[in-house]
Amino acid sequence: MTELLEVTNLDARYGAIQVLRGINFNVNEGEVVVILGANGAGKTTTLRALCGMVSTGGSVKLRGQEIRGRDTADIVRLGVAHVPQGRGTFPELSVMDNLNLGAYVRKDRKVVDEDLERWFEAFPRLKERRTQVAGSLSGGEQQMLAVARAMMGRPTLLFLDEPSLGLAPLIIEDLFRRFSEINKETGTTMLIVEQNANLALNIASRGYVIESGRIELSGSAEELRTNDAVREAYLGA
Amino acid sequence: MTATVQGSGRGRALITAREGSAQHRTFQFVGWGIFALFAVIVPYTLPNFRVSQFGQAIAFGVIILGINLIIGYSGLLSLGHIAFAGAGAYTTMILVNDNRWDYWMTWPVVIVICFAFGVLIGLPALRIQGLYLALITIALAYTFPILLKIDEWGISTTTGGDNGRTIGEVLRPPSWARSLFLLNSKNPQQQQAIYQFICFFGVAFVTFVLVRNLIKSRPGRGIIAIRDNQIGAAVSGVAIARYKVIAFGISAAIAGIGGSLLAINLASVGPSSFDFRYAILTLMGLVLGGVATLHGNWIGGILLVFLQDLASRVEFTAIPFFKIERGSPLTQAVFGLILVLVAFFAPGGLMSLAKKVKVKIIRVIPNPPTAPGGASVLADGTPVAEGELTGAAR
Amino acid sequence: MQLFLQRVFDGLNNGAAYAVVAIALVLIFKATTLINFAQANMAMFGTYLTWMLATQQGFPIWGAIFAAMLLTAAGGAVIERVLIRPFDPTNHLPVVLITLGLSLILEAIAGWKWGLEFHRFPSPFPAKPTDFISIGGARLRYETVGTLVTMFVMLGVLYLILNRTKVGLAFRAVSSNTESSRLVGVKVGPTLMFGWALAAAFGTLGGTLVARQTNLEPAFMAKLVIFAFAAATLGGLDSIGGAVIGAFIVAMIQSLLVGYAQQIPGLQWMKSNYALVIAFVVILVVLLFKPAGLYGTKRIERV
Repeated sequence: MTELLEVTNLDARYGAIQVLRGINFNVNEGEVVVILGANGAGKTTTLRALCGMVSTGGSVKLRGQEIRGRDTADIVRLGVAHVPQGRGTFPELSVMDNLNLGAYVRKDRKVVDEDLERWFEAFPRLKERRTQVAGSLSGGEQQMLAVARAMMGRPTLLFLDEPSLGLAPLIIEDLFRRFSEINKETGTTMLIVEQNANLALNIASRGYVIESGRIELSGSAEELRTNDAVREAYLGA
Repeated sequence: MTATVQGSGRGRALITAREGSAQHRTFQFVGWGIFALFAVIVPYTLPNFRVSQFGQAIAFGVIILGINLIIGYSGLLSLGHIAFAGAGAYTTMILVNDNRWDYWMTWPVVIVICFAFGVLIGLPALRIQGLYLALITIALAYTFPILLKIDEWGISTTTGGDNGRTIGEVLRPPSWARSLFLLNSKNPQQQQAIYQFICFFGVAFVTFVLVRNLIKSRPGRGIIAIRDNQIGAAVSGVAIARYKVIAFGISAAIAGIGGSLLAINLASVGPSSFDFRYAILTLMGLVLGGVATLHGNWIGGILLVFLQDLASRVEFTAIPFFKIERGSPLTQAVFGLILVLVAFFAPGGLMSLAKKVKVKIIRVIPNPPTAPGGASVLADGTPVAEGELTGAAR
Repeated sequence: MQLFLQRVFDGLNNGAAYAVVAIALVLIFKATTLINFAQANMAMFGTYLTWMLATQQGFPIWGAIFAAMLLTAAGGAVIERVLIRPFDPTNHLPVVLITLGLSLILEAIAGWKWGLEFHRFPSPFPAKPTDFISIGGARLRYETVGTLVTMFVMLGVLYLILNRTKVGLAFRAVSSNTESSRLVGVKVGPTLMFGWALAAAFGTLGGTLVARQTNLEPAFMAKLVIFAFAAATLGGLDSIGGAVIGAFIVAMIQSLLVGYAQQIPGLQWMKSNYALVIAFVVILVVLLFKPAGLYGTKRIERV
């Protein structure tokens, strides 16, 4: 297993407030890794820090190349896609436009068109609504749009920030099933950050638990699932 | 007694002193002394027209104080406060000329009218945010002079229309003042000039103290809280709407007083003193002096008056291509350039530079709020035992 | 009837011109939520450039207009890069200072270089006294038709740029959700430069469309921009289509109201500065009751 992402001693702050205090973790190619944590623990900040959206210290290496401190747009061009909390769709733009934006950095127009077709097949509801403005879609549909948009960039590494937030349980189940499918079919590495961990741990191979800006636990998905503290705090057992 | 210095230690200060200590008090005393000296030197040694100019600077200083209250301390981008100054000036002029009022008697009326005017503008401002507010208030500054020139309903006859009107009265020193301020040896023009300056100076001092106390008071801190974090303030129980409207009212009233001072200083009022151009100039004075500082507005007033004076006399003919003749439109470019440069290099105005200098001279260590012996105390002074919960946490 | 039609035609003429300038304001507001207080004098400067090229360098009028549009576009891009980008867009005071300062500087330079007197501006359209179509007794000037056509053409060009080009897509993305546009790899800075360049070009064009009627002097756009602001505000500061509709509404109100008000005793004072006051009232009313305008996106309101 080759290492895709290596994070060492990562700090992150918003102004004077330090949120991450020297976290260490890694993600290998093809894996689905989960980061669990309560509200305010620093999960979202972690993903934002990896994308260069907050002020950081420490080291983040993508395929051995240091990306910490680099511009978000540059990091994205290296094959990283991020579905932010709240989907991050372009609400006034059409579904088509949203998807085309996902492929913004790509130059191979023909293949992009093929990809569009492929994702329309995977999410037929998006195809139906392709000329509608993204803001008029339901929560679940927007989440699918956000994921499809991220995949349109053919990323090697996909970040998902609390994808289940605000969605009905059935939709969440469907969503995570699709994540697993995508990971198996395309081999896209995934780093998922979640509060409610059941489904996430089901599709993941490894996980970390973050608390107050520090990684407190790490292990395989199985280990975390059976860990008492984790079960109490995050699995509602 | 010097305390040990901790903390950022960005270069050592010359003197380090505890708040309230003898050294601190001396430093403050010296500051006030310089200030008082200024108050004496200007009127008694300078020629009349200069004294009058300083008086004008004080008048503008008061206007800018009003603007500082709304933009600096309340965070509301009102760029049209010059209209309130104009309202004050015209009110004074009308009462003095047409109703034969004594000058000082016009003040209560000015305060009430300008406060009301401010509230009138402040109410819609509740629904308008940020740059939209700037837009709307610029439009106000634009429109105010136009309203003064309306021919209908006798408006322009009262206001004097385009040319404005002169003020029939001047500030004549009463006999007790003549003795107190050693004026009896001077000729009438000098007496007037000195007396006017002294009155203005007194007004400036009083408004300074009033505003300083206002800022420190509960409502003052409330409006600053709104400026910095509206949601946080609301959650803490600050009545946002009421505070904002009152902020408009008070700042308008202060600007109105400034306008009234300006009127008596210039001995006339006209729409061109309260138009868009002056809206920009007073804004420039504010940012040059220092937004949200207690002294910046006075510096702004001085700069405004003397920069204008300079600008009207400047001539730069050395380089043929960049020749600036007297009164050339390029002098306006200088004001624009000042605005841009201030935004880039000195957003805190001259006061922020002054603070940097002060920090090199003296470093004041504030006293922590503890009872003697070092135990923590509640707000009313009752001591708290270790480990005991206080206040909301209980 | 004839008078009414004449007023309508005047309204169309002004409306088209206000629309073009309003679009400039909307473009910048859409992308950055900033109000460009220098827009008026940027347009003025571009119009002076046009005038200089046309009358002193012998350019044909439309050549001069296009050249000036290109030059001001470049200027707009530079302004964004040098004067606007260094500042945090959420702190409004520096931006106000910068754009106001720039406005003063531009006006001063224009006055210094080209003098404070009024100049005749060559018309982009046939404008002899006989150049009109008679409809119902009223005169529909060729100039009015030309201005309208120009406005439609520019709208078409804008539509193509925004919807059929990559940079246009990037611009719409930045306007919609700046953070997400970074996440798809859009370089926000250069995209904003593009937006400012476009806005500057539109501003210049708008200036050249009205200059003939108002005559050219350094303050001519400053006096008119409030109408464009009213139009943009009415339409919803981030809606291009809204700005166009708003522009015609404002122009029509002015044209019709003024004409008829003159006949109502007690309202005669409206004559010289009516238009300004109307524009001011429009802005005030819209911001008070419907801050999102007719077509703008609603933002969460706070007290």
